[in-house]
Amino acid sequence: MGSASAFHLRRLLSRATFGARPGELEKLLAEGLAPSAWLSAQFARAEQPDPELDRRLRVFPDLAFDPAARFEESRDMAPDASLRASESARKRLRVAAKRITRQLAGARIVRAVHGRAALREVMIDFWSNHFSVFARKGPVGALLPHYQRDVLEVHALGRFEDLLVEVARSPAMLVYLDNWNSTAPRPPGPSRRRRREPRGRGGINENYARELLELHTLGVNGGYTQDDVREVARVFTGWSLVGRHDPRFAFHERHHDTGPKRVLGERVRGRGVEEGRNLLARLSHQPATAHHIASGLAQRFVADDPPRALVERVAKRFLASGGEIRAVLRELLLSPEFADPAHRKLKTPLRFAVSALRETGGETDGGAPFLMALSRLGEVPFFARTPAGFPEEAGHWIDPGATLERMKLAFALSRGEIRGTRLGASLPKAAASLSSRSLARDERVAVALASPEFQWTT
Amino acid sequence: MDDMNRHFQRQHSSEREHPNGTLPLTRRAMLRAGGLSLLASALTPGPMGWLDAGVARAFTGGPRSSAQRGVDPLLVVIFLRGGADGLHLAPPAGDPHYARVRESLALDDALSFAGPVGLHPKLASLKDLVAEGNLAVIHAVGSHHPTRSHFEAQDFMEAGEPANARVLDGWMTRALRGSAKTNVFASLALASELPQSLRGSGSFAIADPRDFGLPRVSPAARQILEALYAGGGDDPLESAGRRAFDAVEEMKALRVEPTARRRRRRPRRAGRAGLVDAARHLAELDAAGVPVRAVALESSGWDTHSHQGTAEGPMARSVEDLGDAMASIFSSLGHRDPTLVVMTEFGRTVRPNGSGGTDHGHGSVMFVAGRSVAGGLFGATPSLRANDLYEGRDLAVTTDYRSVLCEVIGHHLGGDPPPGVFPGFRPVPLGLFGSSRA
Repeated sequence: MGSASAFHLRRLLSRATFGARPGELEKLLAEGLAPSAWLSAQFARAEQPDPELDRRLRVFPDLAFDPAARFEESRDMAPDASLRASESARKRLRVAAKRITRQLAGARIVRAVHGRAALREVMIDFWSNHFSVFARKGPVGALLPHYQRDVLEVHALGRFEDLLVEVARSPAMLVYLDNWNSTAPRPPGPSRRRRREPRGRGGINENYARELLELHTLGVNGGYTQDDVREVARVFTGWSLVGRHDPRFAFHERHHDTGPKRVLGERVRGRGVEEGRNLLARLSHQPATAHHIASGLAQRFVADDPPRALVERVAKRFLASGGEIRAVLRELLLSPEFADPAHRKLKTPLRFAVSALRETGGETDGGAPFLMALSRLGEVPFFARTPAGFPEEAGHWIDPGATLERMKLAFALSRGEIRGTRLGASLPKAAASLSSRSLARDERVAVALASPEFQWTT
Repeated sequence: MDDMNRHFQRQHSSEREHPNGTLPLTRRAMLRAGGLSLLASALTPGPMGWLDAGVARAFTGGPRSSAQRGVDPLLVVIFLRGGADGLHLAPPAGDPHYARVRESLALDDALSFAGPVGLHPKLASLKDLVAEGNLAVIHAVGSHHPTRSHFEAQDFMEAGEPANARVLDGWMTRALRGSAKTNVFASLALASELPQSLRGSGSFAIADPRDFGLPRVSPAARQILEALYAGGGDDPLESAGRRAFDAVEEMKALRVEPTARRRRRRPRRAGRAGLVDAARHLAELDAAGVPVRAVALESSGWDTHSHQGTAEGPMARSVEDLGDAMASIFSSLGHRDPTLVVMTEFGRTVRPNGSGGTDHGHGSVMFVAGRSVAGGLFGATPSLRANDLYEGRDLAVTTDYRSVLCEVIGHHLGGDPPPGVFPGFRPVPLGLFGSSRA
């Protein structure tokens, strides 16, 4: 196997997984596996059971949490209720949402460290930033199990359009970006139903519509206007939840704005819920969307400022494949630009911490102590405060305070100070260049993990 | 990230109790000589260049600036993330159209301030500042760039060049460049991440100064670690590491000694924005003798798309935090003659949306507070009549936020702003500093 191909494999393990496990690269090299074959194997793994991972995830019973079925905890779940519910009900909800959130974030860590379908875990992380929801907004925390299980996990390597639709229908996103209570303006005058509906005269809420265009599909320079934002918001009026006690997706015809709408210069086809469905289909195949997704992926896997030619090729593949995420990843991860050593990528805090565990062969239960440590570095799944998710560019994560925090985590890990999490016996690669004299083993590991070299992916 | 932390900390507070190498703070008065003479020489007002006399006056301020009086002045910039509703913070309740266009969001108990503009009732803790004529409210202010994207608007605003996405550093960085950089803590963010306004120089982000420091480490390991980051060149990560080691040394040089036991305070209310905590951290740093000169504080939760509330409710709680934080900065750091700026990326729709909230708009409000500030209302107060709104829905921008910042920088540095802080921008004089108009 040529050294270029060997480097390509090293880079795949460093960037297309959360870090090479001990002996993993050596095994691939011995087998003479080509990068394209590695990719195929990863796609295959995403379809196979992973009993070892399932066993580790058993400590998180809330992964199966169904808010609709748990009436006692969910009766005050609907966001509208958060202002009306009694103090004790609100408290119950908060406690439940907090517990669920902690388990979901912990499960994401366990999956990142231990999941066999390593590329899928990376893509779940990518989409969870692309379609970011913040666990602390209203009852979003309690809606995360569905979001993780039925949206992110199912569609991470599927078709972009399917993912976009499932996100649009997900209670977590409907609540997070307020679309659940975006309605057609109600005609004036008293109505029999009025008392049971949200107060006020009704009307659209632009929050989801704007982020759909700006973040989820076209991108901020994707050629839409404020009028488009308003029209898109009108299209999605009525996309909401079954009811206050049942946070599942429902389309409410009576809240839907039935007038004609134009988006990006074209009439929106269909009627009722089909309008939104058609619009999502149209948006997901726009060249601007292809470009936006391609550049996000290139930024994630290749460089903060990715080569333009690469982004264009990946965008073309996106359009040609009808948004098949696997085809797009194949184009990107097998490109010469991806395998070009000149393109550096800093590990975000999550990737830094998880790769320390993976490279040494360590393990974690994803418990609160590890989440606490991660939160001090500023990146815990589902805790990005803005709908843009956690930033990808190195500039966001580099400053002296952050460097000290990384050093502290390196030392805490090497000393076994984080309950439920331990490093393995293998030395991280960055330790090779350190002279071993005068340092105890745990300090040698710590210094390696705290070194500049370890902060960058291969 | 505060939220993140609180989320996980209650159950596991033991992990946080005595972290190794925390920044030890003491109320003991600290040596703070050394910097001052250096400062004074660097702060002599420079030539006014193209600025006409009126602008120059506005920049240097009526009364002598604090730097000229020999006080080590402090600049505090609070950014309200998410697009704060200026019509809630400082409601123009005297506008005849106000109650009708604001509908359910109209505040009927606004505190009176100046002219048609009042203050949100939960800003009551600013009453001393107002009474002493030390609060300037700039109405209908913002960036003329039409974007309603949070991320774009914040980046443009903090980089200081609307519509130019290629600017890598921030307006605070450029403003402070060349001023006497007395130590590594001269400019910092009390936040988990460095905001754009402070990027591009040696500024720090510290979420909680009490946790600032190296891990427990043997001298040999520390030496190796330091050598690893000592590599030459301008690699940003390595230079951040070097500055981290410098900062740790600087702390030691300040002879900041460990408190016997870290004081434990519960957050006042769980899940709240950390602005009040950040203000307290700032006071603690000052008390420990850390010579901070410019600081950025962050406040989130202003993206009130639903159930915004009026005198009570989610936004009212953020407003109260803001007022409390501002007041506490003046009560605990008054000896530093602070100048305080409150800004946000854009305002919100004038009319409520379908969920009792407001969507992304255009003009908002800025506050500038300080002993030398001419208290009162600044900027135009455009009518809220439908025909007068920006794009038929938003408060217009009648004052460019950079005009406000130019005067603040001029006052803070005791001269005109260094060239290039806001490239190509010609400020309109407001006269924010000088005798009170209230």
